[in-house]
Amino acid sequence: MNLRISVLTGISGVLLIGDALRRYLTEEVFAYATAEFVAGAALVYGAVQSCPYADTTRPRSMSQNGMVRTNSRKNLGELRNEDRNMAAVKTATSPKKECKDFCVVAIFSREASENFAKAYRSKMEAGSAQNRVTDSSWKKAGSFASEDAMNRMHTTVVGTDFQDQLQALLKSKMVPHLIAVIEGKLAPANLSLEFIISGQIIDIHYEKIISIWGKNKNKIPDHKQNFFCYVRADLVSAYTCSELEIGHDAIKFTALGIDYKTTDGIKYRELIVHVPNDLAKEKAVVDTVKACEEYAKNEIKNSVFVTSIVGDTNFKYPISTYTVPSSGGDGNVNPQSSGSQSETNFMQAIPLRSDHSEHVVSQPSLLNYVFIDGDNINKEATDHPSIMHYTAHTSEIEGRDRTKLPKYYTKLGV
Amino acid sequence: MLTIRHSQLDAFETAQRGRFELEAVAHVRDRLPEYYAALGEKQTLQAVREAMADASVYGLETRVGINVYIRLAFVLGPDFATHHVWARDVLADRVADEYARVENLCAAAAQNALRGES
Repeated sequence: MNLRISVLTGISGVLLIGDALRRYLTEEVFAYATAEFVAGAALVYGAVQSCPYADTTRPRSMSQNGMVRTNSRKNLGELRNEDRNMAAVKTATSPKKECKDFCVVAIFSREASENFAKAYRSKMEAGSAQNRVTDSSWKKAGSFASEDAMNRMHTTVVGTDFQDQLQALLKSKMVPHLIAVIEGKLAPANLSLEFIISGQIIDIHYEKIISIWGKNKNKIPDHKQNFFCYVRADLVSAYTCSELEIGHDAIKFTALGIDYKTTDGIKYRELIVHVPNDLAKEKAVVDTVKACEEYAKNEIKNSVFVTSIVGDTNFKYPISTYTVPSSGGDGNVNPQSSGSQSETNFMQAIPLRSDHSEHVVSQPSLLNYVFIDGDNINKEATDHPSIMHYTAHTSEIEGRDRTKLPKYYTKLGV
Repeated sequence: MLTIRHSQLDAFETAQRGRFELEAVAHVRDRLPEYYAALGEKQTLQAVREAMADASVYGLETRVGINVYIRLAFVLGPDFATHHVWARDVLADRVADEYARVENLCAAAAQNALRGES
């Protein structure tokens, strides 16, 4: 065979042979490709423009869609259930008990007006990693780990297009079952988001299943208390949502309830919350959590396990170590929840039951930073980080229809 | 409304491509120092570009696919894709998607390259 003239043709004297070649092929070709594929980083080189959310330059936080499920993990690789931090302080669930399914909810926290967003943006967008994490976690995790974790997060400035905002928020993250939106004036009826699964861009459709138009104490419409929720196309039959009122008398607030059932017949509910500021003062926090626990206890009568409250709690302190989000795969690096100078831990996922062996609430993980260049009409912005919430189950979630997202399941290989 | 001119798109693509090439050259410098010493920076870059052009002929478009092709071209020779039957078969498979072809190419290289099979 005639070899073509190449600059490489003239260097046959230095070609690797034997063990050196074997080592190179194993470590730098085979292992490299495997790691890239596992990381889901097989980004389409020529399609960067058609998929602006494919970032070929930044390491991933590894909360990747596909077979890899992570939070709270430093090593890049597949996360098994036993690796995952439990949000519960005590749990009857053995961490090694086989996990069959996760309920995965992205919580996008918006700000209905730009008031608090300016301080948040100036602190988070251009600020150092130290600005972005809580002081206590900076001390706990150390500067190197904190910077490393924060460098794994994407920071994107987007316009007022809601779909663009979500696309940037979820870049390189798991494909959530539901997307709950806290605050904001409007949300479109349907979404089509691009995710990269095993190297291929796949459109995943979501449809809005509830809009809750909030009111303040004086019963006047208040965009700050609005909730919206979207469900993935294949899970429309699996989840239902409702508007709930939690607590009574002085401790009372609205929550978005997400209901589903597992194949073992157990019914579950998660509460997406935006706790009003006056219920988040130091003394009121205990009563607020107690009100939720009481609600969960009462719902047992209706055979519903209320697993957790998750969202913007406005709490300054973590309820426990792992109720606050991990960042960039590091469970000890927690994001600062606002632009405030003092430490804030608003975004939390707080388990309400620790005596049930068929489910466990895991530590939430931080989603990408999204800043909005708003307009003079909507003036929408972001003033908190957003998070992904995971509840592990020992049985599969009922009602999944794989035929609605055939490409997604083919690529996952499940 | 933001309008992006063609020249800006071209510049963007060129910048992406340039960064990718430099990363590949850095890989050769760090992992294949003998090659880098023999070729020098300019010729290493040229070899990377040649391999990228060859990779595109086989429909490789992903970052990982192109990188794998470049690495194999360096250690197995610039014509490995036509010289080795195992490589030719894998790369010619137009039914499998790129993910599967690159995975198969890596596995086949690890299995066959040391046997001297052609």
